[in-house]
Amino acid sequence: MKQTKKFLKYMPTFVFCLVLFIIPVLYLCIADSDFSALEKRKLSRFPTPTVETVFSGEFGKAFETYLNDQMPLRTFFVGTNAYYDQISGRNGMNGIYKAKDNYLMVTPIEETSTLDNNLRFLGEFIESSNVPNYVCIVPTSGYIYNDKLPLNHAEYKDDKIIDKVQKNIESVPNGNFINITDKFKELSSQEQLYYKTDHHWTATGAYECYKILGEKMNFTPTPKTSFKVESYDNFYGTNYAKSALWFTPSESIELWVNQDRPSNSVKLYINEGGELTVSNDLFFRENLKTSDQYTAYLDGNHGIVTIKNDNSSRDKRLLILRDSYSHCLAPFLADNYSEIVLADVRYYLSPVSEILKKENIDEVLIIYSLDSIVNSTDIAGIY
Amino acid sequence: MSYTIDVYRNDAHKQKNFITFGTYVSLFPQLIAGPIVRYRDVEEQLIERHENLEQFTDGVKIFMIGLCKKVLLANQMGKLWDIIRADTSAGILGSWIGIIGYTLQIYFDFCGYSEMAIGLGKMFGFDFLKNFDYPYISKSITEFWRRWHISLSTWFKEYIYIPLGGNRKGLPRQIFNMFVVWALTGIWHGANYNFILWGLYFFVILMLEKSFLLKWLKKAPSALAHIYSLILIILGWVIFYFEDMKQLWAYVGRLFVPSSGLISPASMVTLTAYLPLLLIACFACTPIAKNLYGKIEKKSWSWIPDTILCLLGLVVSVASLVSSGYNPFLYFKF
Repeated sequence: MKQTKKFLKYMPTFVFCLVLFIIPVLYLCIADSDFSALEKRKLSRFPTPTVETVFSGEFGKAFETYLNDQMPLRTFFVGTNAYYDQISGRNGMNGIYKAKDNYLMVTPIEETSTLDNNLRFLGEFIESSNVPNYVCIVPTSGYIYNDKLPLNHAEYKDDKIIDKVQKNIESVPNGNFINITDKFKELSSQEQLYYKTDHHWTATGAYECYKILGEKMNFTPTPKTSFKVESYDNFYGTNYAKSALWFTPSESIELWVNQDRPSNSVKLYINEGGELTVSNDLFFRENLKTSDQYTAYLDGNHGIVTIKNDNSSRDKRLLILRDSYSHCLAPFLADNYSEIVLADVRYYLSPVSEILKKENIDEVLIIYSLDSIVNSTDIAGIY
Repeated sequence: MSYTIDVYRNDAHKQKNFITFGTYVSLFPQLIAGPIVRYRDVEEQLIERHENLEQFTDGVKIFMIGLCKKVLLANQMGKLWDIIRADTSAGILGSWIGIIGYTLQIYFDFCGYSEMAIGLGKMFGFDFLKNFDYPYISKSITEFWRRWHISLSTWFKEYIYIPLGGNRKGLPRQIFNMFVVWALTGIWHGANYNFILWGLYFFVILMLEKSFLLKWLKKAPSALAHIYSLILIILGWVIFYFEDMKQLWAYVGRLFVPSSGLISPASMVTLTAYLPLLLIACFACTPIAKNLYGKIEKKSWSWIPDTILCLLGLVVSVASLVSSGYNPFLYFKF
């Protein structure tokens, strides 16, 4: 009895040593992985030490990154920390707010000097293009669903930033601005315009934007009744991965398929590194099984893709300068244009003005999320 | 250095065993930042020490407290300070909250490392002296320096102040000696003007306290003495933090000139988010928790909270380290 008592007194030591012993053993037993699906990035591997790197300290640094990247139970620890942050009051301090109804929202985006640069580049591009340009900025879910935010949250300035963009664009010849913010605010109480675990808009959000675009760009949007909605479960977006709040439930991702469109009338041309692939479908359902499910729309990020519709109601060619928000929007627009060229200047490095001439573009739609227009330095590459 | 001086002054014996000497020189707990260990204090322990499970367990507990102070308090307070420092329109109250964040960060950083070192030492059978004794509950700056980084002050006192003559050679000489000690204390922390300024700042305050302030403070209500000490300590950390004189004066301006109101909405959000941790950190600056623990320490079931807290602290600390990668080694520059 006395022996047990004495043993119990040393419990902290046993626990301490056990943990310190288990972690290295796990390092040795668990095979290193190449890629983190949650973080969508490559993980660092064990660095090979050389005399040079050891003395310059490079090896030490690389080794530390390796230890951190390949930490056993890393997901468990990162999650534990995320929930600890929540319990100790720091909701949103890692860039994501845990909001009501299982919403995970990106914290407010602040104005930067990059925004001023981007507006200047866009202005110059629009002025020299000689065709009508339509600019649309997608606000963040935190701004639209303000009522779902936690009590203690920073102020969202989406409206002020979007106003600034509007004033700038409207002062440029050929520049038109399409404001979707008010309509989105109005719809927010009835529709789910954004994903709960992702920063993107849902198919519903993209469709509502499509309707507004129709009004301003003079086309008749395909009615909602023409679409058959395919819903796929188990969707987790990037906000989920960033938040590390692993107990948040998954949601479903929707593909809106136009049933009135004759089959094989729409073709998607993907030009990747000079190689052209053609697809008869705008949706890539096999991508729903991968870790990056959002690439089900137009196969995700490519420098330049073209959608051609032989049965389009109008013979018009549209150029879209975009980020990933357009992946979900473009399939709707395919009904109203004979050709849509989508250029993502993050990956497409030739001058965009060349496309204007080569493809005989009639209209340009520049559609960016608030985050891209404020923070992306790639927009400078639109020449 | 301590070895050379101690042996020279016959405070310690020459160490003829190379391994024992090597042990002292490379003694991990004191190597990087931890407490400064005088050779004569550990001379006997170097030759003969008794490791046992009981002492090891004590070491684990002290180490865990130090780890939690560093990772769960100092690092988080550091983030608070970074956020508010970057927001130049944080407002007067916001700026005070920011520097209070830094005040807490630097204490838990130094104290956390010291306790981890002391804990490690205990696991190997060494008994190092306490390095921090709740410095922020001091009622004067004189008292603060008796409680802050004790091994450093002792080192300067014994190896510089006293050899220079201490207070035995008349008042002017004593003032000069103190001046030297404080200028050196400043330089010890970094080779930059602001550290010298920081040392001299305390030299001036200590001189004032010695001549008349201490007597007043003794008569004053203790709340007033606490406030007086804390404000001077906090202002000291402003000098300590900013290596660039322009930035230093700019921050002092933010603390006293209400040019951007009381507190900005953004800082209010940050403050609210960090409030629970701020309160816990302030609480951890007082000996209350230790006194409460003293009441259960001898109980037969005390191993239950010990073990649970140890495991919880370890898991949350590792989680915090793994997920943030944010672990600036504050002491490395010094």
